[in-house]
Amino acid sequence: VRVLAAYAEHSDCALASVGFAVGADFDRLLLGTKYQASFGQSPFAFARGKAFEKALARNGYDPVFRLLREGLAFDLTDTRVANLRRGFPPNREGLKLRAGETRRLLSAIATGDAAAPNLIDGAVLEANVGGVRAFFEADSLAARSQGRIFTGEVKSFPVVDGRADPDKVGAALDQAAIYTQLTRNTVEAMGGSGEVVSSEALLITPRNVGLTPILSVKDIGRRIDRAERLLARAPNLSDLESRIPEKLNLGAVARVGDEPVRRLDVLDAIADSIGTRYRPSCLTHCGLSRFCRARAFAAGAPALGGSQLERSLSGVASLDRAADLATGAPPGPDEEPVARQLSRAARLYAAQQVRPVGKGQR
Amino acid sequence: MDHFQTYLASLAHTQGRAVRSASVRHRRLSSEPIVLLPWQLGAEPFGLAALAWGSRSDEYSFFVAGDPRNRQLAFDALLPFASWFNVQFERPWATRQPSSRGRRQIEVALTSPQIIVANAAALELLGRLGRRLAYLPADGDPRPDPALIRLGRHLQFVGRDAQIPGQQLAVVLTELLAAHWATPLSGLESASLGALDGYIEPPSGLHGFEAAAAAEMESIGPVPSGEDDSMLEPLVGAFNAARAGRVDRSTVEPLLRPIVGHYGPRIDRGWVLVWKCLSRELAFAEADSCSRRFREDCHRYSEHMEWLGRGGLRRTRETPRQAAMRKRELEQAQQILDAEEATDDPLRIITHQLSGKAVTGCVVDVDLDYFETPGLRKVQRPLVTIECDGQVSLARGRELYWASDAAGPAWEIFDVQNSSTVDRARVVLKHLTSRKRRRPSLGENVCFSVFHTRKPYQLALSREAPWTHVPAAPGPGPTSLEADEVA
Repeated sequence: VRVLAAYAEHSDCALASVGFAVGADFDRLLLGTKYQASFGQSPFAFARGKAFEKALARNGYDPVFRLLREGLAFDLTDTRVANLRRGFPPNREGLKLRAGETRRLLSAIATGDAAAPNLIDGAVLEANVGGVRAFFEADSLAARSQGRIFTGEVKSFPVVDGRADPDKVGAALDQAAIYTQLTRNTVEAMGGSGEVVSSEALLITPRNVGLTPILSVKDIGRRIDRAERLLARAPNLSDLESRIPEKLNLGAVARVGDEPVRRLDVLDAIADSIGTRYRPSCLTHCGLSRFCRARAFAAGAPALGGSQLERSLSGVASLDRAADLATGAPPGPDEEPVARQLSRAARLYAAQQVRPVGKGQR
Repeated sequence: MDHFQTYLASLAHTQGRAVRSASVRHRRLSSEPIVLLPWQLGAEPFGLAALAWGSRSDEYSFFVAGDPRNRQLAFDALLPFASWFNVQFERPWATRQPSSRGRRQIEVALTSPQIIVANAAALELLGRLGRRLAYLPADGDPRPDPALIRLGRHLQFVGRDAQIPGQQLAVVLTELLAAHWATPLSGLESASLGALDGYIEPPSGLHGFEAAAAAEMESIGPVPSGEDDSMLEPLVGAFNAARAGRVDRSTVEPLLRPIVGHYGPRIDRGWVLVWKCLSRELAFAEADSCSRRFREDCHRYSEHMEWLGRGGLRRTRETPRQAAMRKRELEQAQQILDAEEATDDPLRIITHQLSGKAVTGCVVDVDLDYFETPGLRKVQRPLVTIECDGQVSLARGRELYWASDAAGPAWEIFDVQNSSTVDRARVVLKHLTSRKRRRPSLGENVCFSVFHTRKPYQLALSREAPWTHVPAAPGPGPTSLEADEVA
């Protein structure tokens, strides 16, 4: 689901969509080239996350049930856990089996089956994105109470004095929103009502210095709406693939033994044929971001500087063109309003002299 | 982004290097700052794995904790730094003079310390560390050294004070550079000091973009790259295995060498970069208003020292009243900072000229004999006419302030004549006072804007929260974060 949440932010990028459809690992695609991704989770960060998850799963998920009882007044007289991380092969076949089991469990909850679990760990949801069906493994929990299903995210960043890093909270809730949306889709596909899945997400994080868990309940209704919109705008992937010339494919880019220049040429050709949509936020998610950024730089794309720069150059194709307009190049009709301001800014700037002073003058 | 910043970004792109967006330096930089370069262990929010400190470009001290997830190792490693920092930070408090704030008589230090960090993440990490240390239970087991608690309270103060716009007690270099240089780098990229420096001063033959892209691959902390931590992990593993649970310094010190070797080159790189950036900014003249903000810094620093001396603790969650007052304080500081920067700096004002909040031009007429009769008496209302580059869209009656007397009485737009043939305008301004003051003279280049530097009058907030849903009892006071620690 984390991968899907990251993709959802860039579902208007054709290159990201193609990579998503064919299951390409963009973090490794450019290994050995000058644009290779510098991602890779810190082993210490990974260990912290695992330690926290382990602490939650202790004694049959007792810490989680305690939080649900105390924080949400869940009426849980007995605790039934379905841990789908165990007992299935760790491959695509396993994912398929887990997706079937997830559907069965969700159906049992939705129909009020008394034997249905209260907690599902490691659910796998099936979804259609851009015409491609894929399985998504939830690295989070689903809890149910009185026929309602709540999705939860487990994160190891701390809450101190009742506050947590807002960016991290936002990213966690975005993931929870995708998870909720997929769960709703699954329930609806079985003929149930999506409303059974709550729009409140459960965020479980450690408190302070240690790993004592606490629960925060957050309304993510708007984030769910946004997730739905983002996933719906994913282009039809078979259309995109048909636009890629036959000789070109991402497999040729991934061949680490080949000349890096040749591999990058192939990727360039693919990007030329279907287009990319670089924005600075790609740098935090996408393994091709440095490659796309270099293309944006070569084109002088205003997107290099972010959405604000892009908006303020509305109607102007590039930063080079903006500089030309500032120095008096005749503007086109779309460029007129921006050009007037740019040329005035350039005149005012030229009137000022800026230079460092000698030490004695400070 | 306004059109001036947009123009500068496009200029930087075509020139291949950053361009200056301020003609003066809007922060005072100490000649002997406390420079801190921290490193965090993975995503451990309180895990200070290494820290370099010093006040000179050619010399620093540093420690590595080994495995800062172990409380004893973390605190033992911090101790030499805490002793040094407390002395440096408290030194200005030794020289103070009596002053008054409202009705209160206080003592104010004549100067204040200044902490320099490379980026905002470093300041956040130090703030978190401060929060952890400030309320360590003094009778805890093992008993924490009082120097650690004192360090924590200083860092906690600095972390909170850094939110005040324009303060200079803690300077984040990436923010300083981004506020004085224009580049097309995104906000995310500008959080890297190396990237900013690369764009400002790219190596010969390299475009700023290429230099920034290369520099951003080399982290200077505090958040390590996955690659950095992958190299570190076996070293920490070997260290933990070799110490076999022991934490005494005599055992631990010799085992730290491989980890010191890991951080050494990274700290060297960061130290050089920080001082290079500092020295480049020092070469620009300081803005006039820095001295006023420096006095404010001294006041807040003195209040902190005085409060600390009395054993005072700070809340970790504000009351609603405190939150409202804090918000007002921050907003007012931002308002005055914007006004001061705009009036201090002819480059800063360009943004406001383009958005119709300021006019600049040459004085072509001064009429001191203009009188009006707004009430019963005839009063003098001097008129000044300026000729401006570009059309002026300010409405008649709008109040403006002369940049050279930004705390003085307002001027009012009396008339605007935009030329129909050339891109110029004449603006007549009326001074709303007849008192004797310095006024613009013929031929002088002047700037009038909506910005003034007077502190606005503010009503006192009610002592009682003016709503019904007030908690029966006040929230708990500051607590130790250690209480939850898992053994």
